Amino acid sequence: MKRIYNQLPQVAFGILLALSLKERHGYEIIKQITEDSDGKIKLSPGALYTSIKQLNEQGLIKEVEHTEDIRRRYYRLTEAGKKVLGHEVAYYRTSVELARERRILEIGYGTTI
Amino acid sequence: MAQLSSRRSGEIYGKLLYLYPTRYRKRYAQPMTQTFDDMLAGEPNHLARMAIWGRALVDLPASAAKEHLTNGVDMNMGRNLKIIIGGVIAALVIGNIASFWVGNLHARRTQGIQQVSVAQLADAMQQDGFYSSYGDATVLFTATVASTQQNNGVTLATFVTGRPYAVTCQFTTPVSVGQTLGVAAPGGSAERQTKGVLLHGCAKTS
Repeated sequence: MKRIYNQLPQVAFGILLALSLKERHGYEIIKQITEDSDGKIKLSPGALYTSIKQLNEQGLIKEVEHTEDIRRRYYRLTEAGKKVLGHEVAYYRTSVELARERRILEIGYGTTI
Repeated sequence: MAQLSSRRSGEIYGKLLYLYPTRYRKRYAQPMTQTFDDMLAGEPNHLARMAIWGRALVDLPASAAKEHLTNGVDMNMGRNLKIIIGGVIAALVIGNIASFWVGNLHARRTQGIQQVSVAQLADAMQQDGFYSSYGDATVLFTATVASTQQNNGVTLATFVTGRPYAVTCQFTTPVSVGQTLGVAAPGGSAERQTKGVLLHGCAKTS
């Protein structure tokens, strides 16, 4: 699947990242995104499911049923979702390497990495 | 709000989801309500639960509007839904106006800007309360020029006050008798006169 880097909005990226480890339901995704962002991103169900709907339509995630927990809907990454997440992470990794080379973060743009 | 039971909260949240397009609601209302319930249940602290509610109330109209714009406005929405949407829009408009008004008032108070009448200025000087009331403020008022006098390149304009004391302003720009002006002046620059107050450094605001 050919895809231009860095097309994912921040919330969508957070969802894919949260689902990279295992299948999760909505609340688990929200908690994982909060944890991954060091508490900076606190989603509400509205924003979460707007992104889930888009990712679902794009075929990047898939709804799955858990027979032991029928009240909640779980989501998992599709193969396409894994590839897109890989591309996104590669893009960010390249950006961070460039930032290090250019010493951007040492000359007053923010915290050091 | 913090005292609401989890079940009641879920019910209220579920009703608010009528803001979304029907097709979206049919598919996502249940998991959204479940997620909201889970979020509340995961927070033992009342304040944290209130914060969840607060974020949800901000987030809902925005994400619902986004869904409507993405999918086209659902023209088959029921009367109750129209009332809810109308109410939310009205609440947002009223909220914006109220926050602007409160912010404006707060700015005036904290920045020492006071809107007054010219009669209040005259009375304050007559009653020896001028400096305590307006000494640290910039006063804004609207008044009509009763007479003018040229003095060393500045214009002294005396306003109609309807009071025993006069209010006179020193302008560096020309003013005319009978003109109604919006004026800004530093209260601390006021000078007591025999039967009035002279404000130095006046500027026309309108």
